Amino acid sequence: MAKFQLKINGKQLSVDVDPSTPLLWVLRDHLHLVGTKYGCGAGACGACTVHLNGNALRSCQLPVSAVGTQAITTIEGIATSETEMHPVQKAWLELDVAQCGYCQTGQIMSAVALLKRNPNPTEAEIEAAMTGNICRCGTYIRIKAAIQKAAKSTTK
Amino acid sequence: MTLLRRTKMEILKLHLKNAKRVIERTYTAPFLAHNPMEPISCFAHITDEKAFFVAPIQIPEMMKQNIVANLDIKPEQLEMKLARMGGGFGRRAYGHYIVEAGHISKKMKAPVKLIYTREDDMTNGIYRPTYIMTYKAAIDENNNVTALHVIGGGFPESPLHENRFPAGAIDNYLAESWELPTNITIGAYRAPRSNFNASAEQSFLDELAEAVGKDPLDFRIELLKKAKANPVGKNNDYDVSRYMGVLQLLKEKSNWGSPATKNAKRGVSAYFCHASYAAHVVDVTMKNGQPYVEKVVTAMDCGFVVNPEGAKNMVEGAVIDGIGNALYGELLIDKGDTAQKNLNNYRIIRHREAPKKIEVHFVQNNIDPTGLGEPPFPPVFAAVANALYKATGKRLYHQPYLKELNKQKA
Amino acid sequence: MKSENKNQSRRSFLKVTSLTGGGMMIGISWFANLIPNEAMAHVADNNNWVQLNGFIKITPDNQVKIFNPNPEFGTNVMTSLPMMVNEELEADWSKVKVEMGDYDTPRFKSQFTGGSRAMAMAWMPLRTAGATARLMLMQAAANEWGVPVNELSVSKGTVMHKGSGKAATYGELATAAAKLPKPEKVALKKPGEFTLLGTPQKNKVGKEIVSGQSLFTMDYQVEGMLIAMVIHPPAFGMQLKSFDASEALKMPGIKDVFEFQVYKDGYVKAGFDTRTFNRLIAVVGNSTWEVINARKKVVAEWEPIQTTKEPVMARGGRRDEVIPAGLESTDEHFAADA
Repeated sequence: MAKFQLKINGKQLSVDVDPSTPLLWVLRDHLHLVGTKYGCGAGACGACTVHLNGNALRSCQLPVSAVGTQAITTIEGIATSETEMHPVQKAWLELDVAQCGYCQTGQIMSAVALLKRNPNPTEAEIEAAMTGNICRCGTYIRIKAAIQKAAKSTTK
Repeated sequence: MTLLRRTKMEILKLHLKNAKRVIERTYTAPFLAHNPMEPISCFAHITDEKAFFVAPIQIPEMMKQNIVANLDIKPEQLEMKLARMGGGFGRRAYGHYIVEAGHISKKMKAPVKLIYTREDDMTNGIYRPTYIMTYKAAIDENNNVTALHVIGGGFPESPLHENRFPAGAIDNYLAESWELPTNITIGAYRAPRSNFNASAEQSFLDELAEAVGKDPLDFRIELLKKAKANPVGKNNDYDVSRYMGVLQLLKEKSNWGSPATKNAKRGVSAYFCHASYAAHVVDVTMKNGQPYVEKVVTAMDCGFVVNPEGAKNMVEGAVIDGIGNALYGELLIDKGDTAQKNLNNYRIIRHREAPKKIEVHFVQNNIDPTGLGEPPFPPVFAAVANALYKATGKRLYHQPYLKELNKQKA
Repeated sequence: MKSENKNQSRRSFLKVTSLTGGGMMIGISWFANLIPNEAMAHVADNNNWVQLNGFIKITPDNQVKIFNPNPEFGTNVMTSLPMMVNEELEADWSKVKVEMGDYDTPRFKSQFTGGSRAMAMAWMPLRTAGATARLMLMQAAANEWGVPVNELSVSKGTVMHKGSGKAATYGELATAAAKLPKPEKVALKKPGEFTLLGTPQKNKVGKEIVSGQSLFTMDYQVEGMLIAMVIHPPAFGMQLKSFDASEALKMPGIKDVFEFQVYKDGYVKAGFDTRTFNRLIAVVGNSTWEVINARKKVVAEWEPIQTTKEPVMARGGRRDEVIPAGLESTDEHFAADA
């Protein structure tokens, strides 16, 4: 067991866990931030995607001891304000993307990171950035359209 | 074998013997793991007063007697919240995990959440069975299909729906089943049995159409016209007019005959199950030897469409699920153990493999709503295989098709 | 391992809740190191719900809630089934709240997610539930105003009497309506008369999904909850012989490791009771990662099964299902001769 001070969604939070604990389980079990999902534990599905210093990362593959002072953002921390969602979340709602919904927070985190570094991605760039995120329900066409819509809404 | 079957069999043999040509083809498909995005889990808190669960379960009523009997609780003690499920596809119809969580909570005298890892879920699954189907057709000198013999089998169940199209459209028709036991657990998977039955049947019809020199879409409509005018047998379980309706709508909306892009090749397939009718035209291209489905046009008759936006989303998902499983879906078993244990080697379709476009057209009618979650799924497989034939010149008989394509190349 | 600042965050959570009137919020769990489902309990529903039937509840201040009977696994029944109720109820759909019904099949008639049957099975009972509730609300207004019910009309959750200009919301009428007898027969609209059914409507749970709310069983947590995993045999055709948990029990956070039998000997399985491995090892601990690590330390011995017959109740009768011994491989299956 060891104590870790984590900077999550702009707040300092502390946990006392085994240093090998993946960030995913720290978020879910210890900080009750359950929007970050467990899908495979092998970095193969993208359901656990969070941001580390703004870059998309599979939280199931990152031991909490490797986080240090780097800033973590989870789905719970991306809304524009307490009452307004992020433009990517809004696009997801407008295009009614979700079916079961389980993978969608991970999809959104990958999409937000993509648009941050590339506000106007081509179709091929979207596919490349998103291909690590599996949607078993097959909502890929809507996800792509939502990313394009969010890109338009933020760059106009 | 009943006398009727024996007679049918004798007549069938005679037709096959006297036929100008006989075409016989065998189709296979592997086990599939459901792999819903949310692995299996269940919350249980059993106390002296009540048995409380938060359960992801498709049909809670079906689990009641199981929970009560195996956990020694009274029916009135059972309380269950039905959590949203991160997918199911049939896997969450089988609620053994509720009983397991209950046992553990009882022993621990505490609230417990049972979690299966992805590996637990994939190695301890209730899989889509592995199936084999053989079709044998007799063709006379006038290019009429005079007889059809179908034998379907599997571990541990046959995929056959014996009264389904083309039953009713062919004068001499016999469908038979065999089953062999296995200790591998199997269960319902999105459109059980139909998901394979359709792939074999609709691939075979495509090959038959070619053999008799007809357009594959028109050939199906012709058979349906015959089934409407002079149906063979009385037990055919589909509505001929609705079946024909989706094919005609598809022909019109897909602009059949002209693929969306110039390099694309087209395949068609249609199927009836769960009281609804679905037909697809699939456009594929080959890029560096890899197949890619770039566009799909779907015609769907599910009666009155309750929520058109949600319905369209559901069909898109079923089409993408179908493409993924047709090309990549495979769970291999090696000495009782699954060769695939996680999503790094169990292949599920991903973003860049999904079509650029799926057009969904619903037949407009006021028939009380029928099924939608499953019906668009089964016919996708053969539409992909039939398009790949046009693109590569190779007929595909064994799923997953990508593996079969690569094998043929080697 | 305890989360810190729990009370403080709980207070901040409650503050936010009151600011937004208890409605759906974005990022609620974020304010807190608090357990999401505890949070749900704290936003306890203090409304005075009046139940009109199994599917419909209304508050005096005119909130309308419709229950979805069918378990939701992504086909969007949380939207489409309540739409059926509301087509006949005629509350304001944009304001209707939907809620997943608990397991209570007698109340909901059918709770069946499978076989693509949701729409067909719900089509009559859910529209009928909406129509009877609307009639009861109209009857309550007719009684109150002393006018015949056939002079009344409804729109977006308000009952109106054209002759007198009187109007009342469903909320105002609900308490009186709930005391009225349930109408025996109701006429349902024909498809040509639908105003909601057949129109594209967005997922009623969309906001909760995209903001990562606690919706799934995986997300469910309560104070004092333990995490459990099960170890099953490494192959179909194998069963548990014995195991040694002494090392696993020494691992941090581990509460117990034990063997259990899922179904009793002789239990007659029904169609959906499928379960191959009946004897499992449970590993129970405080957190997921601790259990994942500890289970690797369990040393189990497995042995081949003998061919057995299991009683099954399926396809209309009781039969014995043969479970063959042996370690099967895909190659052998495809070599099988029909």
